[in-house]
Amino acid sequence: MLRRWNDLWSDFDRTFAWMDTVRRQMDNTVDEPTFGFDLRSSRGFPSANLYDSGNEFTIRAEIPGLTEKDVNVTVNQDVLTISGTRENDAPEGYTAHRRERIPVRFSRSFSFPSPVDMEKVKASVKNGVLTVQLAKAAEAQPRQIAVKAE
Amino acid sequence: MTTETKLTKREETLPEETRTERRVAPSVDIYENQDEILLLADMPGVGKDELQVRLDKDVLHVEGKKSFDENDKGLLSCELVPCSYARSFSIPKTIDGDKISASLDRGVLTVHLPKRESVKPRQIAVTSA
Repeated sequence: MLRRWNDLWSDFDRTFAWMDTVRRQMDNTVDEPTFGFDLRSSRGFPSANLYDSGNEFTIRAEIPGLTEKDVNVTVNQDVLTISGTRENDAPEGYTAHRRERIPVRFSRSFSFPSPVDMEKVKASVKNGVLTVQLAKAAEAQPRQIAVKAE
Repeated sequence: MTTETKLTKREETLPEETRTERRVAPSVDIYENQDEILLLADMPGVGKDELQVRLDKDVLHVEGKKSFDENDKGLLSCELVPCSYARSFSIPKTIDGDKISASLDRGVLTVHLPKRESVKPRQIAVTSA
């Protein structure tokens, strides 16, 4: 029995609608570390952003639960290492129903495209975010070149 | 053909949701003892002003907005994006909603949910008859 054209195409519509929903769900799940530890474990804790603002490099790393005493920041010629331990902060006498914040000992290094001035490195922690500012070495500072008319 | 109109029509009736920022669920630890339930959530980058903890009927909503100081400073490598943290938990009726307290320290939110007095375990004294 020949089905009407309308019925035939409505099957396709339903399939496309379903595919759209699945695609949207996949978009939402893939590009975000939604539960904090799946992507982080492959790139390393802590997750960090690197910036180059011309005169200096800035690193912004998320270290929830850690203070300036718990984290070590060491700088080499052009390598910065952030290391430390996130202790287990489970309170005494409680049973745990859910543990997603995993204690971890971490050490993560970042290398820079140009050498930094080791005397001028600043690091601070606020709201669980570590910000390290490294001024570039004098020879690596950006320079304006004067253009002469011939 | 009817296909054209049907496909385009569907797109109009189901517009895609566009959110200005990503919603991320913060990692949490949940502990319990006989007096209270304790919730610890990692929310780095959220200050007290951007944090909202509210109880709506029997659901606890934890929301916070991650603030970034400057944008586009010459980004070399990006693993963090401005986003809003949001996670909800259904709270059992044994919790006293009026006594819930929360504090934010070093990017970690701690929420104390004390249990009602009537449900706490009680020691019954045994007297000799």
